[in-house]
Amino acid sequence: MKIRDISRMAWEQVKRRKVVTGLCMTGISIGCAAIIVALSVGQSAQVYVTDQVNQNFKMDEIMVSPGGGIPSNGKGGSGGGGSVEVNENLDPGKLTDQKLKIIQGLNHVKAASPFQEAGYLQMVTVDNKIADVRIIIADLKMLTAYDHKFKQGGASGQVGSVVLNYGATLGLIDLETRQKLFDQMNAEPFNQELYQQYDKLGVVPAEMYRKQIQIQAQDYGSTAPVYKLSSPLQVDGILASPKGMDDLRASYEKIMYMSPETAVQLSKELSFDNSTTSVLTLPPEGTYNSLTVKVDDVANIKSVEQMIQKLTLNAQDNLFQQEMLKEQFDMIKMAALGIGVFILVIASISIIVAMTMSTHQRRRQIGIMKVLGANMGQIRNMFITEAALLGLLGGILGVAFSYLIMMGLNKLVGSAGEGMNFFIPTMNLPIGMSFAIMTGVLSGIYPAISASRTDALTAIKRD
Amino acid sequence: MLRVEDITHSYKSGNEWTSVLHKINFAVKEGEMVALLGSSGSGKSTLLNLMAGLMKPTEGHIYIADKDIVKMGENKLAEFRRKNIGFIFQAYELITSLTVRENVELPLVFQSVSPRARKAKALALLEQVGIPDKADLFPSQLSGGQQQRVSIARSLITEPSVIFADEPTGNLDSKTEEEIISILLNLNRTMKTTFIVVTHEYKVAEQMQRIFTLKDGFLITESQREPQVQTEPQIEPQLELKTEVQGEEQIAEEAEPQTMVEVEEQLAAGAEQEAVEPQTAAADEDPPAEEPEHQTAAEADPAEGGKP
Repeated sequence: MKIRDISRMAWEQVKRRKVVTGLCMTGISIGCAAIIVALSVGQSAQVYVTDQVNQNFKMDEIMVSPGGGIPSNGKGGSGGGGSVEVNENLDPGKLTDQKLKIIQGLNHVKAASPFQEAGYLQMVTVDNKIADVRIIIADLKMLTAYDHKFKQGGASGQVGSVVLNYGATLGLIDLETRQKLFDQMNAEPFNQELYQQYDKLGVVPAEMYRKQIQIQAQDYGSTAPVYKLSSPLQVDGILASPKGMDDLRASYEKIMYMSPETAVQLSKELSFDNSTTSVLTLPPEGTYNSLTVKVDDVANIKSVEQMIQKLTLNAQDNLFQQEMLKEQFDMIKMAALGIGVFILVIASISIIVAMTMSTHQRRRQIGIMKVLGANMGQIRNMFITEAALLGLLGGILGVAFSYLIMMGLNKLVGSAGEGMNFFIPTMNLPIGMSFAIMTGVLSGIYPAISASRTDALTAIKRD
Repeated sequence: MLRVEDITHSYKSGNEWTSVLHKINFAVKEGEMVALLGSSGSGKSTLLNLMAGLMKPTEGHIYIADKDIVKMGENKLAEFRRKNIGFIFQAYELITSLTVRENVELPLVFQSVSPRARKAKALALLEQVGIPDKADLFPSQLSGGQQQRVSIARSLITEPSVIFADEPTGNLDSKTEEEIISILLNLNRTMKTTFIVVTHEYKVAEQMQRIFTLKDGFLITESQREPQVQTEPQIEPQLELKTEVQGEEQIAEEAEPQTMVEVEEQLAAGAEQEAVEPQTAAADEDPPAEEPEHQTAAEADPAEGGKP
């Protein structure tokens, strides 16, 4: 019996027995939609969270800091295949200029530049507004190589020129207002309005481009508060906020980038006589406390990292973040799949019942076919094909259902104002369809066998 | 072509065995058209089912095209049926979801014949049974007689060695009955297909070349219609010795239960009597009164034998 004939006969039956077809299709489609939706929600959430993580942690960057690493003994270090010559004269554990040059010359390294944390200081504007900023000492010209984009202006090589990130332009308020608000919040710690007011103030933008600012330092060593102000610095560039980041979150991270030369000048200006330490944490000249390496592809991160470690340096990437997320979401996806499969199993019971009923109703027809020469295998195949067809139709309906459900979810989430977008990855459609067809076939096996075993004579006998 | 050897069939109901057929023996030649005549409960349908391989006999052998179908397994039997046996049912048994043409094609579908080939064959057969214009209709749109024609066309499509027709006119009025029988006779004549027609109606049976009469599981008579010169030139002598149907009626009234020996004795006695009118017991099921064409060969009138 040709597949075409089997399929055509199965299709005729499916078309003819509308109630059975409807029942089975509904059951399977619910199960199929459950699988597709469950998997897709899991994946949408993963994409959303990964995006969020990627905004904060760049996956193609390696943070290099002094110390640690793999001491090279000439034998180890099989990975990477790079050609790092380890010089005995290299200061072990130190991040020197020489090592920076070696790293810059490594394969797959797009950029390697120091980004040194120099601590938190207060920035004061000309109109006396203040903000606490994180000072990062870096080559300002290199900022764009690390995916930073300038919203306004750009990098200038002059001493006394600084670049602010977008967050640093938000929520600048004068000292008095801030102090007043703090006092009120202390007095009424449960007053929500005050917190909302604080948040609101926190995102008020200020025009900072080409403005002059000063850095203020306090001498914590003396009993009475002693402040020192730096000479004016010029804001020559404002960085754009990373894609998808809202103002409130951006306002939590205020960064001021300055060149090493500016940092040295600032350090001199802000040193207190009675203090031995500078308000700015600066490493000894010719060395760095932090280096950021940008690699051309995430796939090469590990090999570059191994080579850096050979220089007796610490290298850390952000891939573990992704792996951690992947593990968590794999678990969620498995659970979702489990729920979908469970629903399909329940659905399959309805198919078994409907198909068995249908087999009994069609006993006579099966009997005739057997008398006309159909063997057990042919009868079985006809029924299994019919069940598979029901599975396929249920699957198609299920795909349609899942799109409707996702549309509904997007509307629901959209109205809640969240930035999450639910989507159905194309790969989930064949998965859902295969489960649907498999359910059809599996639940068709028993009715098919029972049909093929029908005794022809009993079936065609008229009472 | 078809040989039934010592077929005995019984079934168990409760703790008792009920015998349905007793040592049935007969043979049908290729191209022959024979009737299995008997009232209900005579065992004729059981015998048909056994010959078609739908049941297994308790004892005995059935040979079709020299193959013992009793020994075949279910799938082998299915394959054998597919190639060698055609069926015509009393209630037509067409598949309602398929068109007339598709119904006729169905046996070839199980043989994986290409759609084009089977379509051509089905249309030719529909033409032969006189309903070429009904090919695309569904069975429910046809009259009983037309449905039976479809069933006949379906039985022929595999060009089987033998066609079993189970009360083919049982659901039809007398006019349609005549049409159907004439179609069958015509097909037998033109296509030389072997037909075994099960019927309880003598007027149907009498049109066949030979009649095997069954009563209570015994094959009691085998009568030969006056041969047509072209088709049946030879007559087997031992068959001629057996008696005609009327004898059986008398025996049925004279002695119950019968054994085969008694039947034969009484049949022999009955054969000596001249044509006695049949009794009216079980009149509607049993052969009707007039049966001019089925006489013992010695008495046969050559003038009456020819036409169906």
